[in-house]
Amino acid sequence: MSPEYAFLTIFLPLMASVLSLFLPGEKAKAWLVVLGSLLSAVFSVLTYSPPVSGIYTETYSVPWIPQLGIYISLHLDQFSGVMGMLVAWLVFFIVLYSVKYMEGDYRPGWYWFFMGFFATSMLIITYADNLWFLLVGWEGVGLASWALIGHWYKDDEPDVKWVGHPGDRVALVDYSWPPSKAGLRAILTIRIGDSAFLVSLAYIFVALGTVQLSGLFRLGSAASALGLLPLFLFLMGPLTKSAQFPFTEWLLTAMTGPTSVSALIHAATMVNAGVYLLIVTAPIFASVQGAQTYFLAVLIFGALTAILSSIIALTVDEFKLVLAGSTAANLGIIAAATGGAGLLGLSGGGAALIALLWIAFMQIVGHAISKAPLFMGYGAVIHESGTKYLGAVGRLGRYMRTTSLALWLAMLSLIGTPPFAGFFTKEMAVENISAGFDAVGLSGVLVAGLIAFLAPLYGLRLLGLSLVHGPEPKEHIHEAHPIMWVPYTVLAFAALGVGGYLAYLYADELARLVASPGFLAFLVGFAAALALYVLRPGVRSRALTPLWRIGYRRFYLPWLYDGVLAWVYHNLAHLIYWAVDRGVIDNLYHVALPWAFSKISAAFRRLQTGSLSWYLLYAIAGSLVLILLVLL
Amino acid sequence: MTGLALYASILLPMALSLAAYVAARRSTQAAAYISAVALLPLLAVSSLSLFGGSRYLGSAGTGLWSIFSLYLEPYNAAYVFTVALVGIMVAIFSAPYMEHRAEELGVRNTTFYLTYGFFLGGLAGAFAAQNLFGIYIFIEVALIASLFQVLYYGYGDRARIAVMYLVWSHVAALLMLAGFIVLYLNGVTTVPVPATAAGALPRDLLYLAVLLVLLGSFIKMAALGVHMWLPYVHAEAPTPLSALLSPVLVGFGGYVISIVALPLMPRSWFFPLTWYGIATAIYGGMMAYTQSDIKRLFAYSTVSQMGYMILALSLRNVFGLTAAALIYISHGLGKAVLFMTAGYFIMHLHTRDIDRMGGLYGYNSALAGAAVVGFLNLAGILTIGMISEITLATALVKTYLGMEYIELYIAFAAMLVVTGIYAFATIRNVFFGPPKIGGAGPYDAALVAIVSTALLSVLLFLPPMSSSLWTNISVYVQNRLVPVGL
Amino acid sequence: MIDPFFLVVLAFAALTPLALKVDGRYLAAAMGVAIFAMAFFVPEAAFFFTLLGVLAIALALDWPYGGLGLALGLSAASTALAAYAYYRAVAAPQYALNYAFAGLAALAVSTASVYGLLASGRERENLEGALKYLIFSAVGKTLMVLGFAIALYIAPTLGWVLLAFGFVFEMGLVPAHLWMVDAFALSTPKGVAALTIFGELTPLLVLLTLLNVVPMAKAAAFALLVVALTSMTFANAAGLTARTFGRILAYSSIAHMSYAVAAAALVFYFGNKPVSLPLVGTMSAFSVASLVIVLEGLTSGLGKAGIFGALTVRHADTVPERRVLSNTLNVLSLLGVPPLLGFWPKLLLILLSLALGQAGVAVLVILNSALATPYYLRVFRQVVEPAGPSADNATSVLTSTLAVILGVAAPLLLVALIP
Repeated sequence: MSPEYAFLTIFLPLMASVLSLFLPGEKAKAWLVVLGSLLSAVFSVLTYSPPVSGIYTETYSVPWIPQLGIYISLHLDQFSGVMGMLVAWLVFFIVLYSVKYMEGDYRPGWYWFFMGFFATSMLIITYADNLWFLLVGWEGVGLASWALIGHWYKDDEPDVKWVGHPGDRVALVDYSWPPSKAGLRAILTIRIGDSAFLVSLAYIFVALGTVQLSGLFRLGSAASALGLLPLFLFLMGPLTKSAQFPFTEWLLTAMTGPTSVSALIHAATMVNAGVYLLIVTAPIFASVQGAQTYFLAVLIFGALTAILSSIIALTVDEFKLVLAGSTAANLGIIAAATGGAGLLGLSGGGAALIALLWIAFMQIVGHAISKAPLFMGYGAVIHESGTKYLGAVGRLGRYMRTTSLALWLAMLSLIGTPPFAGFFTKEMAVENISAGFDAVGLSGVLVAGLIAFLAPLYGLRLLGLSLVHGPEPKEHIHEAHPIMWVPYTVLAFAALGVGGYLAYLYADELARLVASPGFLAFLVGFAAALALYVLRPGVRSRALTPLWRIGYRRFYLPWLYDGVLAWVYHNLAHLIYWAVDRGVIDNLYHVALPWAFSKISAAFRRLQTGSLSWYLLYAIAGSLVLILLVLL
Repeated sequence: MTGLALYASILLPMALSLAAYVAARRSTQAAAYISAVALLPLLAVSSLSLFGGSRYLGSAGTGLWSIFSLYLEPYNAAYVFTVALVGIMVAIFSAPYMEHRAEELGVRNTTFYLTYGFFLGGLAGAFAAQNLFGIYIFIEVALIASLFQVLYYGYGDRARIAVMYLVWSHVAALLMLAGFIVLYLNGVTTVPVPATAAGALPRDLLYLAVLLVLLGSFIKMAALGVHMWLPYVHAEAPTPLSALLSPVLVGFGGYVISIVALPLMPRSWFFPLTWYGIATAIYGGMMAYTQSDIKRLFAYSTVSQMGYMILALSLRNVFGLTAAALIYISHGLGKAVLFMTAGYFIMHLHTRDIDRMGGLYGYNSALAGAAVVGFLNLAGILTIGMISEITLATALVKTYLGMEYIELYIAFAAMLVVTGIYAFATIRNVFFGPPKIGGAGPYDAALVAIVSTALLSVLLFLPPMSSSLWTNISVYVQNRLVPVGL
Repeated sequence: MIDPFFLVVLAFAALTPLALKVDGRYLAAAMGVAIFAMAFFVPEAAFFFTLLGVLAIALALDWPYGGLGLALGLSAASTALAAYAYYRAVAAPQYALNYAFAGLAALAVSTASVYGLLASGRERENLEGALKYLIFSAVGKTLMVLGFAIALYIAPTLGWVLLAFGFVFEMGLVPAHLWMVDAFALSTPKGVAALTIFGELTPLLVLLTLLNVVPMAKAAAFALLVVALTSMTFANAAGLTARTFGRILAYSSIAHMSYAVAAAALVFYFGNKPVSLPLVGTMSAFSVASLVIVLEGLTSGLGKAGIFGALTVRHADTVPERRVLSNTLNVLSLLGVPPLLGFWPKLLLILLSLALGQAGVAVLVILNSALATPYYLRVFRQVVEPAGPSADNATSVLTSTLAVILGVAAPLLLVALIP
């Protein structure tokens, strides 16, 4: 590997965005960042040519603070290489898309800086071989995500820029989220994970003397002494970053960001950082004592997230919220697949583990290239129709032909229809999951089936109610600007292309995949979805309404977080402030003591009567007391 | 020769403050820039030591004059460097601010610039002094100088606040002094206190001395329970002073603990101290969250940061002491940015009330960006603050490794989260949300100072800088401080 | 053998008729010059002679004293005599007794002359304040002489208890402190100036002299220690709510006197032993105590002389109407801010008590100096905040300069002051 290329890949976007701060006019900023990301994308390919297989195959490192184990070090292997290309190219496409999408925005400087800044941070995570160095990128993406979720800091235009229906409340808790609040939720959730993550990194460094991923990998069984504690502290990072249950909430409200941001950060890349990290660290943690528990936890968290988020996606009524739900679901699938891979790999050898992890990793790719175009496409839809609500506008297929074509392709790939990329990646991932459950004696078929069954339902529901059916748009709607539709259409076809490539790659497994229970479940779901939302829409059932409400209220987690937790913290802090800080400490030092002293002082000075005889009396009396003291 | 440089660089601010005094009669600008320039040699010397690892030793003579002997090693250079850097930036910032404040009060700000140099010179001296009495005398000079600034340019009930400040710091300083004397009577005269000292002293005397020093330092640092003076003083002091008090003066307590108390402290005291640090940090963070006066908020966040510092000191390993110095730097720069930002609001928006702010990003985006960086310093994200946070975490785990300390890890994580909560909540309340104030903030010297301080805090994070300063500090700590009793 | 210096003082006293002819201030100045000149003939006490001479001149320059200039000169001369007696007593122990009596005589002279100065305003208040001073110090002196005689020839313990009470009355410590406030508040400022420097330094020097003749008895030491600790706390607490110069500084000087006395009491109660003084070297606890006493007396005297000397009002129970910037230094010195003069006695006292293992006393002193800060800050503001033009005069400038110089040079001074 040539580190120069890798470094160029990583840092070109940042350079571009830093320069962009000093350029006047948003056009200049925009095109500069686009140029930077294009170059970075090109170099990402150069970095990975020729391709290398295995994990931590090639590494490069320069010291930063060696005593603390901080090195600027990169690793190149089949994971980081592919991930790097994926990230860099997606960044390029989405940045290009947002040139038009963000036109005339009131905060261009902020947007363009953080886009480049994000790209660099994400690429650091991708290539970093040193966990501290990775942490730099890790904090970077968190910061960028916070900055861009809250991009529209004025909290204006609630109908487009907020999540939820403004004014909607559940038991005194607001159920609508302005950008600034959504940003706060995101960064705080991630802080919770990161602080535990930080401790675990420190733990690993102190216990094993290095945080080089490759070094830890080479330690092999020597790392087994590490124990489970750091592993679970570590897990907190990915869980929060990848919005696994119960930390899904921030990702859903993150949809207040510009759609380009949602597409890049909250669908294709940043949220994948967590699961990506799970995948690349799995071979290391596999050799730790009691790793099985760890992988089982990952598997269960993942599966849980996959199912619950699918239900959310199926019930909510905003374009982007549906997509966000499905993102969470897919992240769950990836995580679960990783956990499954770990569980299976423990029994098998290292090579087997890598192969299984590769399956989980492929789902990142499959999901990214099908989810990004969906977001961009619906961004165009919102852009044109001026609403974000599912069901507020429909029949868009007629007006936005290219867009709807791209959306169809991308969605079919997302839900895993053959022969799209999504089909292969998802089916194999689902296999991982079910096998993983089987390995610990739970019925994997059920879980896998449920996951596969739900996907087409929410997918086709979204398309059906927005593109095929639904109310006629009020004003005339026309196709998006080429700079916008070219990127997502290209990506949508890429999904098809990659699908073909995978079909050629896994030709011999096709039969098995098609026969797998997961696929059958998918077919059932697909048929049902087709019937419910495309062919015969409008079928409602009273009985399901309460269930639907639970999903629509996102299992009332927002009520717990924004309501209970916030209330408790806020009031606890204020209680302590008024009761302890002001009430006791302040009053003691600055009220009680001065008061006491002024009283004493006044009392002493009251002796100052001015009459000489009294003075003498005092003096003599005092002397007598003193003499008594001396005598005693 | 090098000693001479040290003396010159510490005395120059005091000397030139007279020039500044004269200049202030004509123009505040001139006075401010004189005060800034006066600190450049100090910045140079301390940078040479901090980044270049060079060492300075200055002696004024034997006998009683040895009170004034100075030393500069990377460890205390880290503190002196912060003092000099923040001092320069605040001096630049003060140009427009003090002009505004002076005409608001209808007085001339000659006194401010007369005392400014003495304040910073005294502080630098206190950090560089090698003799226990020297430390005390220098810190008193700084204290008296800053007292005048509170008394004549402060807000609210200045006189009362000045008394409060004088009394608290006086008690703190004298308690330290008493501890120093006990040590002195037992032949411990210079810092850092050598390893042998602990063995030489009789137990009870030793504990008495350590206790007195710790108590004094805690009051100076406004640690939990004795923190009450800080919110008042920092809120009512003239903002340039707040921007100096909070980052540079308060941390002095930590420095004293690290070089005087730690080497003599019995082992059994460290673990409670760890919890005390975490408690202070969490408490300060929660209190900061409740404030609506932005300067009080920052004051409480200082309490929280001092908790971090106490925690770092209580870990008795090379990472811990290094972390303490790094926290001093990162908190210094970050808090300076934030207080100067508050001052910018006071100057141009005439308010300190967060409830009246909101959406101020639109008011001046450069300011907002700088303030965000300032908060990142406190939260330990991608600034020199991140290095200190990593070092602190490593130190913690290094000393307390294993499953049995899980509650400590959780408390530590909670501490970071609490900091994150008030930091980002404040950013939201001040800079985001529907704009409540129109107009656009001017681009003046104050803004320049704020932005460049923020930039520096990011630069220090990047490899060549952070590597060299971390290495130099840790090497000195390893060789001189850690073997000392730890 | 008759010491030449007695003759000098006698001569001064004999100059009285001259006072009717010459304006007193010139007389006082002349006597100041004479005292200053003496410095060359009495090496042991040269420091004091210089200091007192210069001070007398400065005071004389500031105000017209009329006939009372002689009183000013005499009080200065008597203090000088006391200092001389002290140093001679240490230098020539065989004559210590004579010098002790000489000291007592000096005390009498100074009291008389200070009384004159206090009353010089010819107002009812002035007279009242002066009278209280006169009565209490008269009682004090009686007790002293009595006690000293008893201590010498009959029973040291009883004698010293009486002596202790004598000093309590003389220096206005609790419980016999009440006169002091009135004296400060009601008498003429220039009188108070003389009182603070001459009228309070003299008894301290006498105390030292007597201590060198007859060591203090433990019981008396105990009594004095109790008195000192109570009255420092009392004074500082009472000072908190005092408003006018006269009253605030009265309390402050009670506090200073108690610091001084506390040092002596500490040594004689807990026993004299060698103390390794940081930076100076090893010396006996008693010499440290003597240092504390002398420096405390100087601090209090110089600082207050400067502040009162600059007052143009008829009596000090009012807030001054002119700004006197040089007095800021005097106030800070009284507060004990390093490196001003006032810092060193406090430092030495803390040091002494810690050396004797009395951490409690040390902490009490610390808390006291903290307790005192608010009212010193008040004085400070009263000095600085009145409208200009600033009314610095010879005394205030001289004393503030001395506060700085002596403070910075204290390291060298210590050696000079230890007999």
